[in-house]
Amino acid sequence: MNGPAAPEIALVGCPNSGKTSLFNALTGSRQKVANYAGVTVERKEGSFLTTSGRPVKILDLPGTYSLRGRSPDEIVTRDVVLGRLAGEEIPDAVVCVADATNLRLVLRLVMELKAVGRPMVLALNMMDVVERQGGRIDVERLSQELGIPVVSTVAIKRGGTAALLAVIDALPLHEDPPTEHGWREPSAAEIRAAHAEAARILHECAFHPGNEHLTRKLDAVLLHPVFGVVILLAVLFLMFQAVFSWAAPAMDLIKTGIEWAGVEVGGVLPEGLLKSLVVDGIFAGVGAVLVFLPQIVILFFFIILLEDFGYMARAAFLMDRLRPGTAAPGPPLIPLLPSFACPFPGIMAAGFMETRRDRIATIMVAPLMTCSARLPVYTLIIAAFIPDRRVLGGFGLQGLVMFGLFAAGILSALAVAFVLKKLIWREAPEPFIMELPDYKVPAPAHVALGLWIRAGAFLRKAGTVILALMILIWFLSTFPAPPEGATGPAIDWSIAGRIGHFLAPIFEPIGFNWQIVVALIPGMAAREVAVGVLGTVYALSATGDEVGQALQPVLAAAWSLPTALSFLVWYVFAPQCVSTLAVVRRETNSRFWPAMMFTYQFVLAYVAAFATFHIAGALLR
Amino acid sequence: MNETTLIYGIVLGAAVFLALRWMPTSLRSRIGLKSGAACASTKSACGSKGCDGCH
Repeated sequence: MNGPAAPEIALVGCPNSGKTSLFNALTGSRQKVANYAGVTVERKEGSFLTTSGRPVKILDLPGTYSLRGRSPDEIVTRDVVLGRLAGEEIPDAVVCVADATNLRLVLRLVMELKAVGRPMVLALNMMDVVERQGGRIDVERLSQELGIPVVSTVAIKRGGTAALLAVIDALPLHEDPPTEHGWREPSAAEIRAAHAEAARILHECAFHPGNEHLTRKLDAVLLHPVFGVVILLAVLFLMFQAVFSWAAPAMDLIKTGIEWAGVEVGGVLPEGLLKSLVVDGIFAGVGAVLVFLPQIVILFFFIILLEDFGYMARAAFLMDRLRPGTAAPGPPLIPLLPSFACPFPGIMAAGFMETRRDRIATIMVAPLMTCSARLPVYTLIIAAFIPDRRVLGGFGLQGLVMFGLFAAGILSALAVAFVLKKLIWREAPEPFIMELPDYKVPAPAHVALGLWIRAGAFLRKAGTVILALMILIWFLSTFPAPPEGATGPAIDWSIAGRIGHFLAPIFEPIGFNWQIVVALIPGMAAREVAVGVLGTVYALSATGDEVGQALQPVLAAAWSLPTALSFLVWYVFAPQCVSTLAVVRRETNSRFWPAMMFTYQFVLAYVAAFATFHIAGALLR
Repeated sequence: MNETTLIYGIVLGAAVFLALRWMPTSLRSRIGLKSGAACASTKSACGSKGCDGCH
């Protein structure tokens, strides 16, 4: 017989209060990350044992300054606490986390949470920092003033949560939580009164010189209108370099390892369909995605490190300054930079954005950045069609075309983000308000745990959804097999080949022949796969890297220049990666946004390729 | 088991896995399924505190 289920506690606090550090300290790796239904707001749930060994579930809610709910994140927090979010339990108790070095804002939140009427504890996190800075908080007095238990915690130290665990043990959990609550949206006068009351309590209970001196000195440089921007760009440059350069050896290692494993496993299997599925479908397909793991780990290493240090909030402030006013065209830079390697890390990193608008805009434009999977295609077509000569005072024409393709991706990303914000979120953006946290030395254990969770999420996705997709794409490209004595490439007889022939008339206006259309279908597994498939459909006997070289003269003879240019432009914009759509589905927790992404990218690619084909044709006539 | 049967089994398994994974929550609860990605996002399909299976 099952015993009573574990009670559930909601962890609430202002942004940057150390809430997630406390959540990690309480739960360790016993946590699950998903999204709330229909919104791109992360849902983190975990479990832990109290001092007496009682199991308790805990929900890490998005940071908020009040229960008024001014953003999707804050609305989720408010609705969970009030017990009115569909599909979520009413929490048995609330633990409010406060950055002890910055109590002022949280006191007003505490007063609102008290009005809800659930059992509640205030956890003063980072008390070690307050003491180190010569500050003092009278915890007992604060508890009396607020009328709730108050405990000190140091989330980043072993045993730093002992007092909190003991207090949770004493809470009246599992007595039926009331379905009604006593909270209502405060009026302006009530907010002013709450501010005054918070100031009074703070004055009575806390003395905190803070590290304002150090913070002020650092901010004078890091938030400087000129030096701050220069430093931000330097940080972005370093991240960009790290994601590309530092990851390269590990990526090569993974790639070599997967290829070696494919050959070894393939060597054991007899020639036939099963070997083709394992080697060409599973190892080649999933391996093409797994190879990006080092880039994802490095990107998140920087993001978590900078966030823990207190710089991410300042980076957001500086970037808001860089795109002033309502006409802000640009999505945030940090998640978009790594999308030059692969949209995966960019889309996953979008979860760090403060507003849903920025998150969705970033996710939607990340695939327009020129990812590394496009490079083999660009290199092949440019080498085959663009003459290797100098123009405009010494610039290589081939390099200029490559630059143009990169620039087209960036400019179109900015334009799409602008249009999205104008068309879908027409209301004026809310003013950017953010409490800048004090600078802190990041805790290695917290950074390591964050990386472990992110890498695990990526590997789970590669091992489940992407593996299944790759099997299906292999099947479409392989079945049915050509009949005995058939001539021509085998893929021509497959379901993918037949779909290619069926769709060929749709792509004829943009200059594509049936061979290109057939290559696009398995190319949905990974963009660069199209090069190998073109080699197959043009019946080349070369394999591996030789395919590209052998293809160049064949394509140069078979395609016109307008077709080649149209194909390049198609690759800049087209939704040619089913894994990206799968990760968008997961991150947005919605079918609408991946469908929207596929549709707008397809229309954009078609229109741009159509224009390119016909303009180039007219100019060359 | 011959090779073709095995291949069809794997492909069918992959297709069913994706269909279940991406099935709308309403349809999922209608046919009595609880676990999976959609379940991680909501408890509405599986009731109250007694549910500890899929979150």
